[in-house]
Amino acid sequence: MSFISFENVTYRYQDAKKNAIDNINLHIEQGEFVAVIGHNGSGKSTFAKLLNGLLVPSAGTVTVGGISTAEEARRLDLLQQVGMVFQNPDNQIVASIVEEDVAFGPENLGIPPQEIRTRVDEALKTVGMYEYRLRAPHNLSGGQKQRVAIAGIIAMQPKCIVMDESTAMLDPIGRAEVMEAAKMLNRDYGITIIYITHFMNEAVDANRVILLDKGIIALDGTPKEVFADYERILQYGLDVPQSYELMKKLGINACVLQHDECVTKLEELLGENGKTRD
Amino acid sequence: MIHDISFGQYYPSGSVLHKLDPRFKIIITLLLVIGIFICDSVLSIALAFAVTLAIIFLSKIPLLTYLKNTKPLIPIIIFTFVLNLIYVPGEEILFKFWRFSLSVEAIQTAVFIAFRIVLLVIITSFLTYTTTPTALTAAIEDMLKWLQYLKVDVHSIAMMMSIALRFIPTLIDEINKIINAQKARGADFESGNIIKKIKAMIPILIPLFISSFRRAYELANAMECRCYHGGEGRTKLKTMKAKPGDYVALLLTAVFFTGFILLNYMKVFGRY
Repeated sequence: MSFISFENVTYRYQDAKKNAIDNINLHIEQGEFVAVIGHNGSGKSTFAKLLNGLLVPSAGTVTVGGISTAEEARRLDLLQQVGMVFQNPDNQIVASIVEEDVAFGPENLGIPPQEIRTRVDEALKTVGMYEYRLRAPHNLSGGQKQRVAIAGIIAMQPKCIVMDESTAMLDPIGRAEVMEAAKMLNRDYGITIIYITHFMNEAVDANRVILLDKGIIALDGTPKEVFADYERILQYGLDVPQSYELMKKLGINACVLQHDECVTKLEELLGENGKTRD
Repeated sequence: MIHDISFGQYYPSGSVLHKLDPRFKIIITLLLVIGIFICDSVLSIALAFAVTLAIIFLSKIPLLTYLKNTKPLIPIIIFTFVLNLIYVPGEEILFKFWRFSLSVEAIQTAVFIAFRIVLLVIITSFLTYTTTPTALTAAIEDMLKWLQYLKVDVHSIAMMMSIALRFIPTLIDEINKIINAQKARGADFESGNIIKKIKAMIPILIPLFISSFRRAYELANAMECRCYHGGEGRTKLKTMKAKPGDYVALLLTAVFFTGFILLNYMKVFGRY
């Protein structure tokens, strides 16, 4: 059985005419890094909230690590396994000191004080915020606040972290910081990451990209597969990764998604041209 | 408009006083405040002054920082000073003017009370300077634990207090943003009479309220996601445990407190 599985999941908000999530079937394995993309209203955020039971499906079942999200009795276990980082960093920090905020989750789980201490210190070191542990969160930058929020989740030792557009309100530096932290957690700790974003340049860094459109999974595959067809992405109302767009504008028909890949490609081309000119 | 609000004015200097148990600090502050209130002789106020100086010295916080806190109280101090000068009756009258008279006793009382207010402000700021707001709320929660037997939800109240403290700076930023946004749309907050000015606040308050509700909703979600389920079965990162030093500090305060009372019987200057 997969770590996360959606079986015929449908969700409809009260008084809504259409299903926000429409009969989705999906399996995600432990340790995957999945980017979820889609334009506004495609059901991205609903999808995120279904993962940890903030929303319970109208039909079908969502199970994470063997626990159904509809199971009231195991709610705390589920929430401990699936951590969630939200969009607005200010609205998810509870305490007025960084380390006390990171301790909030473990405190709720009833973990002995000494262990909370080690967990908090480790979590802060992991995201590189240990030196800021006694600071007030409101004096930190957006990227730093988001990293504190991530540390607060890591301290609960989850198996999966859902990032619900966690970079949407950040500047480019902050975005890079958060993305880097997410990649590191996936690589070094084997934590499953569900990365919901509308920045295509972030999505290309995932192992797998899921494109949601009108509540259904329109595309699901590696970044190369999903972005393979330039026109198709535009039809879904999305942007194309910058490198890809540049290639297209230069009239080169290649699915180049990463910045580094783009740079080598350009060097190659310039090199060839140089040679022919000689 | 609102730039620097010194709220939760924690001043980290890592002194011995910072390390005291916040519960003991609250009791010590209360004792000292009551002590200064009942000071009624020059000698006892001198002792209070010495204790205050010792606290300032031990806290490793500059005197100027303490005095900054008395600034907003200057009008009150002047007001009480003048009132005391005019209304305190006395025998040794220096001069008379219309219905008012100025006596030696009045000067003594006025100076005495003004000095006492300054000391009170310094003592209370000692508590807020050396204790973080979170430590303070935790201490209050701990000290009011017995109220839960009267079916008072102490944990929730303490949680609300600490969240309120946490959001004050965030909301101040928000107010400034809203003010700028409304100014950019041509709102005028400065001209007109008081009623007009109060009415001009409405376009600030309504967006602030709406956004606060949205924040509250998101925060509640985030707290739930982090397994918050009330005070039941909750542990704390920082447990409060009284150390020998805390008892020594409390004992010293008790000694000073008795000192204030005893010295009240030894008058040197007339009434004081």
